[in-house]
Amino acid sequence: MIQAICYKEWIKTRGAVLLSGVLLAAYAVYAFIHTGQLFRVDGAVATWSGVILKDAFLLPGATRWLPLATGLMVGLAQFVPELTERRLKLTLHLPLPAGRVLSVMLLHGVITLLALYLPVAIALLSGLSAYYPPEITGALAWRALPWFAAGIAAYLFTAWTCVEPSWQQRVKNVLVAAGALPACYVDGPAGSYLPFLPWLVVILAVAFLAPFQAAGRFKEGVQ
Amino acid sequence: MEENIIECERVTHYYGSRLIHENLSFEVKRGKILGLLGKNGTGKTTIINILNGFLTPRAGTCRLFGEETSALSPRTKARVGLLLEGHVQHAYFNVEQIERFYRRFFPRWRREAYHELLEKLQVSRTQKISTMSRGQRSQVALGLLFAQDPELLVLDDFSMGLDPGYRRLFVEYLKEYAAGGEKTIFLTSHIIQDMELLIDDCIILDYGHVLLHEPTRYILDNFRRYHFSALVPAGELDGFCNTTRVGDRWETYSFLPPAEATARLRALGAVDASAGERLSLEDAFIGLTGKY
Repeated sequence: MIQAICYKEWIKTRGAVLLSGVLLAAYAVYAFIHTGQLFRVDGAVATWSGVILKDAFLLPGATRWLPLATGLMVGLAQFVPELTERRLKLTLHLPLPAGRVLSVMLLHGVITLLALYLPVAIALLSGLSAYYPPEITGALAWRALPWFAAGIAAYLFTAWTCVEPSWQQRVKNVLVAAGALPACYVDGPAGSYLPFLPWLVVILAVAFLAPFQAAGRFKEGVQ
Repeated sequence: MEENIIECERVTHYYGSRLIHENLSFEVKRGKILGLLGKNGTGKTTIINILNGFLTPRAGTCRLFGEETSALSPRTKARVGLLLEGHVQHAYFNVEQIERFYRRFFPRWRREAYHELLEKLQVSRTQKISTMSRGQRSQVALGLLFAQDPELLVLDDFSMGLDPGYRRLFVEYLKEYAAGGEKTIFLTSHIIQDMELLIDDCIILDYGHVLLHEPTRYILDNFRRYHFSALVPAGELDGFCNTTRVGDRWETYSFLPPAEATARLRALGAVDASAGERLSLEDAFIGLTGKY
């Protein structure tokens, strides 16, 4: 049964997943071209000193927003069809506990996003290790982590908003999401984000649990 | 003793301050086909939502197979086939994918029942449900329900948007499905002539309450329409309902035996009272609820 739910979620999201995969792969290719260009044009010394002394960021600006965009895209592709014509009723009428159905749906989305993000992250870090020492690529990984977390949080907040039955409350959910997501985009020198990481985990945990509260309201018939 | 498949006890519900149902109670026995009739806004879909656990009433309880509908177990949900208003289905699937999806959930899945119905449609197995006509979608939904082989079917406005051919096909399949006497069907529809062909019992809802809960046969045999002339406005007549003026004559409806009804009308001053006219279920519905 869990396989069947994953099958349904895949059918809904495959277009968005493929598009996200293409965008992320294109981004990774562009990041390598960008880095190679920096080294060819500015030279290794200038690029290294920029990174070490001026805390210059190694990757193109899209690194910040691409995970967020893909998280939103997958979330909308998965949950808008459930919201349309209140099709969620069919899903919750399946002979499984409603909580389990929703857990499988959310885990499917989170795992899909991780499967999109991890290969890109690994490819970037291993590719950049040809240009930079581990200390720099390590700092880069910690710096980019909240942006990828923002992608997963955006996905979960999208699910929360779509499952919510009342339009008024949906607007409030969007405002809460818009208030929470900037926490993943606080500018600061490399390493300054580390103390915030536990809170990031809290944001993700709350975002994962929020759709269950919305599903409870849906089942009660809140309008 | 016959088993109650559906039981609703003193259900009261409001949307905001608007009363939808007050102390609504009814039950449906195993093997019965019960039709819920009512004008728009009388709360038919509300009852369907309560029965499927998608709405918690302000007061009262409903049970399916003895289980409270607000907390149906997966085992009970597997025994209930649900058709949503508008034949809503997972439209992003194609014909084959949707069958592959559902069959994993139901141990008694009858694949051939689904394909038998689908063969009547001019669709390929890879056609997406979202590209189908309303009639074709209704057949997909019906095929899935029959493949599930549930003990209870709950159908919300099953004839909505269907042409007469599809409606008739739907009704014939439902009759065949219920023929063994072990299957129970609870349905609503706006096309009452379809219901007449199908339902054993009938609940007619008015705003906030039940007008009537009787076997369909009883209504068809006993509820009659009378026409008469009167020199003075007829107003409310005891034993009659929805007495209205139509042109220069009056019409009224009653469950009274025809001889008693005409005698009462004459005693009240009616002139030229017609013999009681037998009615279709649709006319009976109009007679009970009024035209407006």
